[in-house]
Amino acid sequence: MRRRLTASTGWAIAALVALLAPLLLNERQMFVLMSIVILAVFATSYNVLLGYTGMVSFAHAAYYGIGAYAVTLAWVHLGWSPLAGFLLAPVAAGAIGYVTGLVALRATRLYFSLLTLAIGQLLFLVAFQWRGLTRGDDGIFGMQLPLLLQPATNRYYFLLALAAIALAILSVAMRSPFGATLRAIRENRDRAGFLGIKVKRYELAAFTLGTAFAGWAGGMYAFFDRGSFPLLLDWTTSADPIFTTLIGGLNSFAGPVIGAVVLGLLRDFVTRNFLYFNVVLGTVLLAIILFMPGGIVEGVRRLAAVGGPGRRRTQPEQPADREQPAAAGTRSKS
Amino acid sequence: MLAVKDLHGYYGASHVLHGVELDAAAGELVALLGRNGAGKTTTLACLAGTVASPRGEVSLDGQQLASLPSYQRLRHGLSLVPSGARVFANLSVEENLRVVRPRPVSDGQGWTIDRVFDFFPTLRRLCASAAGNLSGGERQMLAVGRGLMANPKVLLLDEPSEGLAPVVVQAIGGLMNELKQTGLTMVLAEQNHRFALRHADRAFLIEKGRIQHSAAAGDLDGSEALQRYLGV
Repeated sequence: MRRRLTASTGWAIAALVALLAPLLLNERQMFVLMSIVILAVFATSYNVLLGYTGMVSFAHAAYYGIGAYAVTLAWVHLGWSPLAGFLLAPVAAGAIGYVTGLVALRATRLYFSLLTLAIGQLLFLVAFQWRGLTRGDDGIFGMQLPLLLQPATNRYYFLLALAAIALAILSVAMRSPFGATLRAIRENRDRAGFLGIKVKRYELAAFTLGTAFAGWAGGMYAFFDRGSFPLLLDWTTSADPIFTTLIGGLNSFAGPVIGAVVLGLLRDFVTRNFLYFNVVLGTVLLAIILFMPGGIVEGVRRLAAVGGPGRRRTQPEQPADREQPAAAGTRSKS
Repeated sequence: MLAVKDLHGYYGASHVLHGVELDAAAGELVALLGRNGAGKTTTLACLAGTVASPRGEVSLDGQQLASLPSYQRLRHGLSLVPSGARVFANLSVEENLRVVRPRPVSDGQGWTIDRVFDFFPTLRRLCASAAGNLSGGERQMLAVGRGLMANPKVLLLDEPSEGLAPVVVQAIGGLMNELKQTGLTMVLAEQNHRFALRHADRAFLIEKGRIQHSAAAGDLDGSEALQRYLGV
């Protein structure tokens, strides 16, 4: 009860800050904020796979890139306005996500991850080499935005609204019985199976939902950058939502959003003062994994539990030492 | 009702069950007794379909289930309550019950969350708590409740008494009696033979992956077979 209250207070404060921020910030800072908003959606869509269902995919950036290309290609080849193109982004990414998910989900665990790596790189190569369609490595730039969206402040509010819609939809989905089923699968696939859950079907549904909203985030990126380029689909880009989620915490809905804020601000601050951002990022990640394995959310919860009255809380839980499938657990005592 | 013939079970390459045979009539509670490592859990896991059993026959009301994946076996009426009350620790009590995709039954016949809560009033109070925060006894009730949510014809109970205080074990026993009143068929795998024999109609003794002996529960107490296969 109290936790739900603190959560809604947190969201209310975040919304207020996000709405009022443009009053104080300059244009450069507005762009930092926009990238944070996009990363928040991208990472939350990834957390449907990682945090809720327990699937590690290295292809997520591919669907993000597909979302961005959906907007720019519809503009270049079909003459669509970016607004109409945006509607295409989650549909295209989700559709390709569904088909590729069917293939990747023929395997489980590590082999699933390796298949997604192959699929993601395949999609990357399509964007990289099909010059007739995508202009290859040159990318597509200078997309004309509607007049209203050209000032940075307006574009920021537009992206913020898109992010709010995406987060609202995902939050409802993850709180529904569907979300509970995904968490059951993450905790133990075998056990979910003997409760009548057709695990693969749910995994595919989660994969499709996650990829569709990766496409949504990619579509947002196309507005931010007014373009798209192949590197968006590359597997190295898939690391972004992974790092974001690890920093924020993968066991809560807010984790990736908090991670996006922290990572976005950190990246802005460090890159302006120091050459090697990845060194800082690596150090931060190392510290978090070693000392706060549930990410910032879990760390704050633990602090609150130490300071506050003794309440029954959920156990901090990390995927690394998650319980092994039922077979392994029960074998020792038949 | 439930008939198991020549069931073989494997963990990878290791052959654990060597042709288990057992059966249960409608409404009967049969116990599967054996030492640690005798094959009790494996037998139930093979019945539920979580452990591979490439050879053997499992039939329930004449339907062959041996070749079906576990989620389909549940829809035919086989529901497993795993040992150690393995509930989903991160899900709330209510969510644990809600994730089950039950066997379809006609209206008013099946188990609902409300009916489970009527059966276990404690769980109603804990409805919104994370299952990981429950006590051992509460967790066991939740695991049984979750098993019932499947609307099983046969409930497979794997050591429900394990690690629980004697008072709680007694409560679980009372519960099984009540479930029996509803006409539910149960297979109870137990190390605690006193507990099992108090509630079971018949018992099967398992050793080295084979059923060595079966008898009415009343005849087994203090018998030589019990001495021989359980060492008591």
